[in-house]
Amino acid sequence: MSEVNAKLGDDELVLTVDDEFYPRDALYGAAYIFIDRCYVKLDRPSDKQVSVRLKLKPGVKRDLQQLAGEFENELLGQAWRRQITEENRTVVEQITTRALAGAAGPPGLDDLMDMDIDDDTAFEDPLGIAQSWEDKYKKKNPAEALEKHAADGSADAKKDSDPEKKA
Amino acid sequence: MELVFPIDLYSGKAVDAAVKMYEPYASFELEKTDSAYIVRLTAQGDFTDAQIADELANYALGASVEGGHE
Repeated sequence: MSEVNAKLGDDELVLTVDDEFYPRDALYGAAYIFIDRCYVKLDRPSDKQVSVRLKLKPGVKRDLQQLAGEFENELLGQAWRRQITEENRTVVEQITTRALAGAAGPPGLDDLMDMDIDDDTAFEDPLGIAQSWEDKYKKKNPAEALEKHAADGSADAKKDSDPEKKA
Repeated sequence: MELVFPIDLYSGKAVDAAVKMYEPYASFELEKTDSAYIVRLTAQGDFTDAQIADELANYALGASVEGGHE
């Protein structure tokens, strides 16, 4: 038994949707999409069913069979989008929270006081901010470069040691 | 003409807002039952009952969706 049944009239169609298959928000979303070209009316023919009457607005020429298909597609799309949103809600919230926390600016005095800074961690510079430009980008000793890139496993080691091959 | 808005599908505020919007064009009688908001209307002026009913139903649906169904 199909969960969406369509009954076609002269200028309107009535779709009956099984409540169990489609969440209410999906139904609202799909119905709302059609109010620009149809007069839409929701009703309850039974406890577990919702009927959607789509009546074409004056001047709108549309095949009703096609309209029914479009509505069913929209209903499915809305339900699917809702499911994706639910599945990813936690991730989205985490990302949003981090983004907002970052936008809040640098840590204040209280935050700094709460940080665990001691002699071991105070002078760590993981981003190399305290390093001078010259030290950071100085031309490497060819032997040092080869050793470093060998350790990294990169084939670009030979570029650093041979200036003519540098890009 | 009578319009029946199931209580679990339409917001009461939305129905009220729709009636208020179309007050200049029809006279209305409102009733609330356990399961539905009932709107009885008689169009005035150049519009038919069906025209007012159709537009009102669309407005009520839009307001229910946008305002969040209660």
